[in-house]
Amino acid sequence: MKIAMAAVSMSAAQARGNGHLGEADRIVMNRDNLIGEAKKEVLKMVDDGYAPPAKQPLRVMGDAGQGMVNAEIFNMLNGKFMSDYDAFLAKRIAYVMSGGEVKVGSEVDEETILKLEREAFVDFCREEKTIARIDHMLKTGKPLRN
Amino acid sequence: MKEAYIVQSVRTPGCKQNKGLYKQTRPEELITFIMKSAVEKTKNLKPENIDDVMLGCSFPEAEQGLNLGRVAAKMAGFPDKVSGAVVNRFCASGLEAIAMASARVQMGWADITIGAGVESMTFVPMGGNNPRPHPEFSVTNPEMYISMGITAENVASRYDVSREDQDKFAAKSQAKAARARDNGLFTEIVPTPAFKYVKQADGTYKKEQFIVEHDDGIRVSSPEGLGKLRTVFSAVGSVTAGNSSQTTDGAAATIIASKEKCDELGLEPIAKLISYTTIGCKSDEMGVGPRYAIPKVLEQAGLTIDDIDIYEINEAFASQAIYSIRELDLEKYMDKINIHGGAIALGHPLGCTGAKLTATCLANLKEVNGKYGIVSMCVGGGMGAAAIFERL
Repeated sequence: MKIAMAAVSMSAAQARGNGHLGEADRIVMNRDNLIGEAKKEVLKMVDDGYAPPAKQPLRVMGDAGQGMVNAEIFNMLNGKFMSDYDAFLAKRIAYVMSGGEVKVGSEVDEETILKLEREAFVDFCREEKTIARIDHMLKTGKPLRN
Repeated sequence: MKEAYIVQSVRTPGCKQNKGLYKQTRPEELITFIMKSAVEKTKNLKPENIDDVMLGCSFPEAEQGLNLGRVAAKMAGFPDKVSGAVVNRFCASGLEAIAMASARVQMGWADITIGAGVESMTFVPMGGNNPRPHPEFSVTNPEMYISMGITAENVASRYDVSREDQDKFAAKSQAKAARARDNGLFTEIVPTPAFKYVKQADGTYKKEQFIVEHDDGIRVSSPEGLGKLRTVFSAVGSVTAGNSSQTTDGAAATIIASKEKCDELGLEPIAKLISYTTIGCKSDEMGVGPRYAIPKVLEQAGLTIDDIDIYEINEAFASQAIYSIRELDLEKYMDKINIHGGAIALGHPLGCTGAKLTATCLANLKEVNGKYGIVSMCVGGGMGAAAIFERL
């Protein structure tokens, strides 16, 4: 629902609360040092022999998850907590995150999710309201709820 | 058809979900205690006289699962012969259970039954632990899974029930409940054992018992104070936590016996269910249910609103209770409606509510020396239910 509500983190602490950052993710307090610290971090990881985690099948909620989201979206729409376009986006994102047309508890590989995500991304980019959102974010640094 | 008489009707106090006095007391404890109490309080009745238990519960899963009707009968110490089942019609479950228990006696399929209700919203929250709306149906008919708060907003906006009227109604409910509690008028309540886990000096925990005597959600408030609360379900609405029912834990039980068994055992009839009905309405304004169920049940019984001495209309939300009262032309009988407050003050333990309101209705009928009482409520999914009881 954080995604459905276009919740943008305004600080690292908020990002952690929103689930965009994990507990182990390091927070750099000085914005000017962010890139430098990130570079140091990644070089250290290489020195330490970092290897990306092996790909694992992902257990997903499938269409049951989409049913849950559909029901909640209806409430949020009726309660004027989200716009029609928020709902449109949320339903499609739920479709991606729940693994598409599969049964609850199914396992899908990362490529499947990535494929669904790419398709959704491309479709969203064709939407006028998405373009307006991107434009607004680039100009103001704030999300647009259109 | 046989005559089916109510010989006992009692309830536990209702306590607030998660924060209340039952927050560490499982639903089985509540229902077991109240069924056992109902039997013990009924002169000449023994557990082995009971044939069957019909138990209302809105979310019969987890601690409330595994056919709690039968589990509760056994936990209460009733003999093996006492069977049990769980009945679910959401907020009318307890009333449905009493109707089914009565019908079994009327049909001659049982001699003595218990119609009961239980809900621990602390242990099993509204919606259950694992809600799974149908993926396609939730797109075509999302209103079937709608939040109850949104339905209350819909009733308020579609039928012009103002925020001010809702807050006034809610404050009145609280005031009536406080007065009744302070004057010992909740005679249907049985002080109920509850449990808490208490940390000991050595760091271990021990389960300790204490007694709950009163509904713990009563909070005297003013319409002005309630008017300051923020809306919960809609950014632009009028329904708040203050003018909605409280989410609550509780249990209630009613014992029904055939005339023949009453005569044989020497049981004293106190009332009888003379008619019960349910009716469907739009899901997205389910709160209007009583407005349709009450006229239907009155017609079935050949009575009119003027014949009724006590109304227990569940206050799921002030908006829907006010709407139903207005539409039924019951404003002239406000002194007969929820005379000791309603769910806004006393709580709405979902599947228990019908059984709880029945116990309250019968106690209130006795208090005012009345003859007919109505219990009615709206039901999630878009329904109304109503029953008429006759005091004997």
